[in-house]
Amino acid sequence: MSELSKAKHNRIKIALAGTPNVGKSVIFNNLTGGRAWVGNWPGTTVEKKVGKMRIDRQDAEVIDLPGIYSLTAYSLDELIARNAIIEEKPDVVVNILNASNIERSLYLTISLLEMGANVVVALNMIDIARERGYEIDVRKLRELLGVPVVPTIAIKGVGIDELKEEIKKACRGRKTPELIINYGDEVEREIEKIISVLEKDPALIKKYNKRWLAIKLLEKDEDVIERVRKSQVASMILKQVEKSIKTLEEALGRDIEEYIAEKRYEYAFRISNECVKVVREVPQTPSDIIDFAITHKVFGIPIILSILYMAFKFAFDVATPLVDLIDWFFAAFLYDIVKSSTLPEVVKSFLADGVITGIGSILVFLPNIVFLFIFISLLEDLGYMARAAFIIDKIMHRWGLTGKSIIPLIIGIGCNVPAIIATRAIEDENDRNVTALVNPLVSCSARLPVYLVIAAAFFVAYRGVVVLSMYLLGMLLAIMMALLLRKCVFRGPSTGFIMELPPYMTPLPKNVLIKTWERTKRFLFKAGTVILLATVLVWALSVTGPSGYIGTEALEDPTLLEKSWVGVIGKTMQPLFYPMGWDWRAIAALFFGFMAKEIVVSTMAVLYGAAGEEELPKMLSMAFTPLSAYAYMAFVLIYVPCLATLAALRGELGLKYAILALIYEILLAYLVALAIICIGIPLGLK
Amino acid sequence: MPLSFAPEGHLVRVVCIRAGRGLSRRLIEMGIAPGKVLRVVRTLGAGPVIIEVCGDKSKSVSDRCNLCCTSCGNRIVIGFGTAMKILVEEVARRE
Repeated sequence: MSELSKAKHNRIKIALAGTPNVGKSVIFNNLTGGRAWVGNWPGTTVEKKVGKMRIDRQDAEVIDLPGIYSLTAYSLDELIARNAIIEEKPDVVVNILNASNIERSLYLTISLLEMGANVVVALNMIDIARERGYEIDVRKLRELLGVPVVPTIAIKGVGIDELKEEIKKACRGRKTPELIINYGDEVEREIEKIISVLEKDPALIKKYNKRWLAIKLLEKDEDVIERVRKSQVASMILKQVEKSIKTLEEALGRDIEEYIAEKRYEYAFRISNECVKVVREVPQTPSDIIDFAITHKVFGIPIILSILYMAFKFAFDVATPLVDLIDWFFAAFLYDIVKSSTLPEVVKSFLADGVITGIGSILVFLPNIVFLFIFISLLEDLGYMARAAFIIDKIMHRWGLTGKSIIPLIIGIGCNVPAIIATRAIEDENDRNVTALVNPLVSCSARLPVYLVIAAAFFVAYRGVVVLSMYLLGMLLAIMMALLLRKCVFRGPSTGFIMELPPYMTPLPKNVLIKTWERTKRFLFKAGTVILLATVLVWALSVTGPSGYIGTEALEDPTLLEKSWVGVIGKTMQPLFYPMGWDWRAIAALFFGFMAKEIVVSTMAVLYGAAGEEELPKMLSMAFTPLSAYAYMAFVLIYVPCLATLAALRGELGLKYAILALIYEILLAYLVALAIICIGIPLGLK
Repeated sequence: MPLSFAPEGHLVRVVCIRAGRGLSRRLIEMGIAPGKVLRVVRTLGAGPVIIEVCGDKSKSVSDRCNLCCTSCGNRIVIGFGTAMKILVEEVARRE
């Protein structure tokens, strides 16, 4: 009854919890009709996703949590998921189990039940379990766990209605019986002692389940210890816990937290043993045969490389007609409409040279980025990424990264922002930090136009090779920086990684599209805000100067432009770049590239007075030598992450490391550009 | 020997895990604890491994193993760094 009245006052909250790669996001989409990333890559849901569902004519909030194996905060994902369960206190926790791997899934179920959560179990992927030749006794499982169990095949929508029905029933206030695992007499005695101390703080045991609290304290859970520290009787509790741990570790002769985890796993093992029947033996699945080739010692790496090559071909060649269309729409169609309108000259110039040119030069990459993300999402849903992580791990390990780092590095080719966010799935903190910090060195699609323009001006014959050399240089520097950061800043051995190898699955078009959209959205947001502002700023600084308003003619007249703020900035910074021999326009373009690297091209177009980007290569061939142009490309590749990337770094690692990234990149860019000049000149290159 | 060096296709038993607190726990949570029998599905030769958790120390290996290895097929990728910290002994060759 009390649950019902609570539901009337507050919105009902439902949380979805499960091990990574169990189909939580698919069930989330089924329940809410909403959006969440769905990926066949353990740890895809890196943020808490919220959607809505109707229950008894009420809106209920559905929270999709990242995949977790237990309620001990080990990786960042797990911490996010666990805190959501502790803080939000959902009315129902839908625990999704992997029917084809029930033993490992049950560990989390048991932890949830121990916590006193109101659990409904969805036994997902029963089709895969059957394929593998075993049957699960659902009634038995329900009996052993004491909670509702619904078999589902989420990707086909099977069992979803029944699941909704059970969720509704659970919302109406069926209380889950607390599961008690007997940890053995010695441990139970100490748990009792701790509970009796905990009971001295009624507020604390009202907020958390006391048995759960006592067990977590024995497990030396830092997060729980912090929570307990706020209690008035904290010192008493912690003293008792310390005493108990000491007694137990002496009695058991081993680490108490490992002992508890093992007991819990044994319990899960027992339940799964009683519920799972092997009906037939399946010697080798098609998945095994494919895996044999894909994870092969010799063929594995060439397979990764050809898949990456395919991704590029797909993203850049297939998208070309769309790119041309968008380019025409902005650079010709809209531009001409505005220019031939009867608006005042300043307004016309502002709209055409500022806003339209700016947005247009960014949206031109949209097809490339969308296609690349479609390809990456396909690979994730297929289940390839976990295999790639396995194959690449040995190489990555040598450079102080792990196999899991490969995913953010590949995503980075599209855009560094989602890539940096994707590093959250990496458990080891040092590995995660290093992967995020070197990510801006991976040449994102924003830098491509700079290479293309310069290559068109100087390296027509070997354009492909020159552009490819930039990507390779980026990867090489990323690896070298990773090693350096590992040696100097994030010292200590990597703990490596553990992840489940998901079975291959046919990607669902809907899921691929949803995920592509989620990632593209970030890019569009960036185009709509940062880049728009930046181009408008470039425009404004070009038509004004220390002497005040110069007039829009400055954009067409280089001598006038020299007197603008842009000219002043470029000229002030020129001595710094004396060895490279770049002129002030190129330097001013770099300055504006801080905001987003795409802007380098549009700024150069404005500054060199090129009418459209078609003409830019011709103007550039007069301003640079091939050698200085190549150094310029390298500089653009390396120097400063764009504003959006910096913001992402700050969000993930904190301000300190965002600044570190900014500084190391500027220094590295300068050194590399200088090195190219210094090596190039004696070799007789110009 | 470290799990990383275990030959492909062999069955090995976990002797001990020499890892920090967080990692040992995580391994136990995934069913990799001292005494457990693992099947090495794939190795890259002193690198990461793909394994299947086969059995339990409480049951004899031969009983459990046939049942589990052929039925579950649930695989775990263990990175190089981690695989070096799991010490195992050989139990049997695959027939």
